[in-house]
Amino acid sequence: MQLRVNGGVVDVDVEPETPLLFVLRDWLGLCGTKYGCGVGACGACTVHLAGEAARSCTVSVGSVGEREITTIEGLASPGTMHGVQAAWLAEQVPQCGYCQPGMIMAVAALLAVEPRPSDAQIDARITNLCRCGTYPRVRRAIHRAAREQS
Amino acid sequence: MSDALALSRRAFVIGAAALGGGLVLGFGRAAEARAADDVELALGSWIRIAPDGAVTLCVEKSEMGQGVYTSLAMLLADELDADWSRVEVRFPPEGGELRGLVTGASSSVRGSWEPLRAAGAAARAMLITAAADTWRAPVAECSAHDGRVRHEASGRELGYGELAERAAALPVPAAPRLKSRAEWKLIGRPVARLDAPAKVDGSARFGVDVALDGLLHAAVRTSPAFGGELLGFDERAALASPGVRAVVPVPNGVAVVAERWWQALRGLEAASPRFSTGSLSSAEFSARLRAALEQPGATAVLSGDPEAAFARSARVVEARHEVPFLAHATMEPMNATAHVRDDGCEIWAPTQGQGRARRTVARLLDIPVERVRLHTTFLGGGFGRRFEDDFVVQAVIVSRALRRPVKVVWTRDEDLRHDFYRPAYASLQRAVLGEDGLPLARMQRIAGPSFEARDAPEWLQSMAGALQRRLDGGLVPDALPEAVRSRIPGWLDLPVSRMAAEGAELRSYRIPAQRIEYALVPCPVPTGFWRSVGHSQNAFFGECFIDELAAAAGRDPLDYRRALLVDRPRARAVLELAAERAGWRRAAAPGRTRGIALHECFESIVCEVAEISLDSENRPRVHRVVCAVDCGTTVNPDTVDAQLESAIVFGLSAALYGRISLRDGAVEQSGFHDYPLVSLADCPEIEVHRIDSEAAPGGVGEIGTPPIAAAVANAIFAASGKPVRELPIAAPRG
Repeated sequence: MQLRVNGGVVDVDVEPETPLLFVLRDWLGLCGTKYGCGVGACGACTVHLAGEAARSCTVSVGSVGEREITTIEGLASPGTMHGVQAAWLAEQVPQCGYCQPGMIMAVAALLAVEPRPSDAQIDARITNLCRCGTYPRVRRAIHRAAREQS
Repeated sequence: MSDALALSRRAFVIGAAALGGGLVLGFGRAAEARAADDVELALGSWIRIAPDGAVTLCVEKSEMGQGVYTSLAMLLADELDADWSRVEVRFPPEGGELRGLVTGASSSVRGSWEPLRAAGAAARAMLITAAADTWRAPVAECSAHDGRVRHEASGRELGYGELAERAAALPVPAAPRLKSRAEWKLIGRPVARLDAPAKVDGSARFGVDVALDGLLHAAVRTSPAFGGELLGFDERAALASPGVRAVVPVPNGVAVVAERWWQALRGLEAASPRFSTGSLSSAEFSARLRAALEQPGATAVLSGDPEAAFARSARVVEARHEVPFLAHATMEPMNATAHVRDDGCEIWAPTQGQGRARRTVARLLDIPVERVRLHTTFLGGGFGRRFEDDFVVQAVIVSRALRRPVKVVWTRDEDLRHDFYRPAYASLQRAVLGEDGLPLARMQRIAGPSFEARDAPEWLQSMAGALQRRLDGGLVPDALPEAVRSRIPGWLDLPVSRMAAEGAELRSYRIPAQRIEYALVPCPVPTGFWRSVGHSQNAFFGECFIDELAAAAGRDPLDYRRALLVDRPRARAVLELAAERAGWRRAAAPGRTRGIALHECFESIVCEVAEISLDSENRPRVHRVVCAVDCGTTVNPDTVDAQLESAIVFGLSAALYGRISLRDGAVEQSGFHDYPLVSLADCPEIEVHRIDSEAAPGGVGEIGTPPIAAAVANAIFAASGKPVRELPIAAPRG
């Protein structure tokens, strides 16, 4: 089947029920998206499908269709950084870093539709888990990214 | 502390011929390094300055989020006076002789504080000397800054890259001068993390991301019941599953190996492995813990004459507490990649215990440890779990069966059920209060599994437990005949688990007499080191009890602690700072209460104030945590803040929700739906206030965890009048 990934088109020979997460990682070599639980509970596998956040471990590759898939590797154009990534560095958010690509993708999708989210909106929409407890910095980075993109 | 440090005699330099030229300064086995085929592997810690001026620093501690990748590089680079923008950090592969590498106990910075600075200073001295020699100028007239040496008088300058080869021919100075505090350019500054860009653009490589030619992938399932066994599985169905290449037995379970991990998972489902069940339940184990509190234990701490104080007074406060098993639940599940070949074994793993893993694998394969090479990746969380070698051994076993490189990755389910848990414990405390309400004596009995005995079979653990009860609570090892002690490895440690008792003596406080006893409760559940280890439960037990004593004495918990800290000015300063920043003396907002807890561990002191409110069902919401810390000299203050925030959230998850329960001898939990973690929505505001100190660095990575459960529990006590005696405190909010 054909998939539209990070601005390009790829062919993969996989069964349609294969979770998108594993197609990205193990067939396409895009390892930035992570496995954390496999059941959509942690968000480490978050990618964009047509710009909306999706937990790729619960999306079958066969259900993606024509929708553009964006992974952390494709969030920014080559050689540049997305505003969320810049805010992440400014606030020194990552610790172990494993959950961060998923977190960043979730936040980027939120800011695309909600450019100045309130704390309540952030609480409701960003449910990615972080075992290292970077949440206070995540919150500051979201507000920073929101300010700087406007 | 003198400002010149004698370098280990084992420091040496290898010059232009090795590693592509430049200066390489290593610590370790000089003779071996020069003779070795693979010089890089044979070197210990090292600094390399390439002819073009690039600086490579080797950091031998595992980066699991605590920031050592950056903070250790800062120690080297500051003394070296390197151009920080040219610095790259590597984890060197571990090979050659066993060096017992391990990352844990919040010891990376405080253990490397002297040696890494000495190494950087030595290299700098050699580069300056090389420049002085080149210019035929006095060394004293030359200085180094940002990767260049300058002769002020003549204005001549040379870069480190240009000097490297010449410096490599010089001897390593035995006692290089270290910078004074005023000269530090990096140390003490919030230098940006070197690994942050890769962690933000997705290029950082963890153990699960290892890629090799011809790599196969394996999914495993092992017996859910501890001590249980694999009864059978459908091998044919597994092998018939798409992409599956092999099925390999592993201890207590089975591995399905395929081209891709998803195929291995499907193959494992098709295999449908069946396992025997056990019988232990949480209720039963809890009953055992509580029963163990009713008999004397082995003495872990004894000061003064607590029995005499108890005999004299009727004013006794008593409290029993209990805490459950806890999982590590690193976001990156357990995994390792291994390739067993005829000439040895190569491993890629996110590990905290390189030395231990290599030693175990060498023994398993019956080869010299020099033939086991281990590469450390970034770790997606560690918290003590990745100190264990089980996941490495498992990958080696699978690779050995196939003679192919194999990456074994556990599912979340497998990871949560095959942890080395923070043990469950029960505690009994009693204190006798004097006229002034302060404790004259305190006794505590802690019942639970023993780390030290964890590899001993249950029958041996039971024997140790029974023996200690017959020996009137004295220190058992001295009472045993040598003939008995020598035949049972580890026997000496069995009756008194130092890990179970660590931190229980509440060393900050002046308590004239104390007896702390430990009662070993045999346990089939694997236990291990969970962030802050024994301090995690003992700070909860002790700091909650202190608040109960304060209440019995009719005193404010802050004032009570100040009175107990009479001999400890550093701890008092931490307490006061936290209280002041939390606004302790001012009334809290309506509906809110505060709780305070102080704990000393890993050579640092932390105090936390939690501000909470209770909802209509008396469930707490934690709004704010104010933390004060004295961790001695701070290398990277931003890393320190981040680690305190991290450890507080880690401990808060445990305090509010964390519970691993048992049924039929197995763990009931299987994922984040039934082992919930604090999320962004329920994470409080956290403030960290550091005390400036010139004392040697104390530990940082774990210290924020011990006080948080008690701080929250004490806030609940203040709000409700009812002390919290068991964790976890609350079910998750909807």
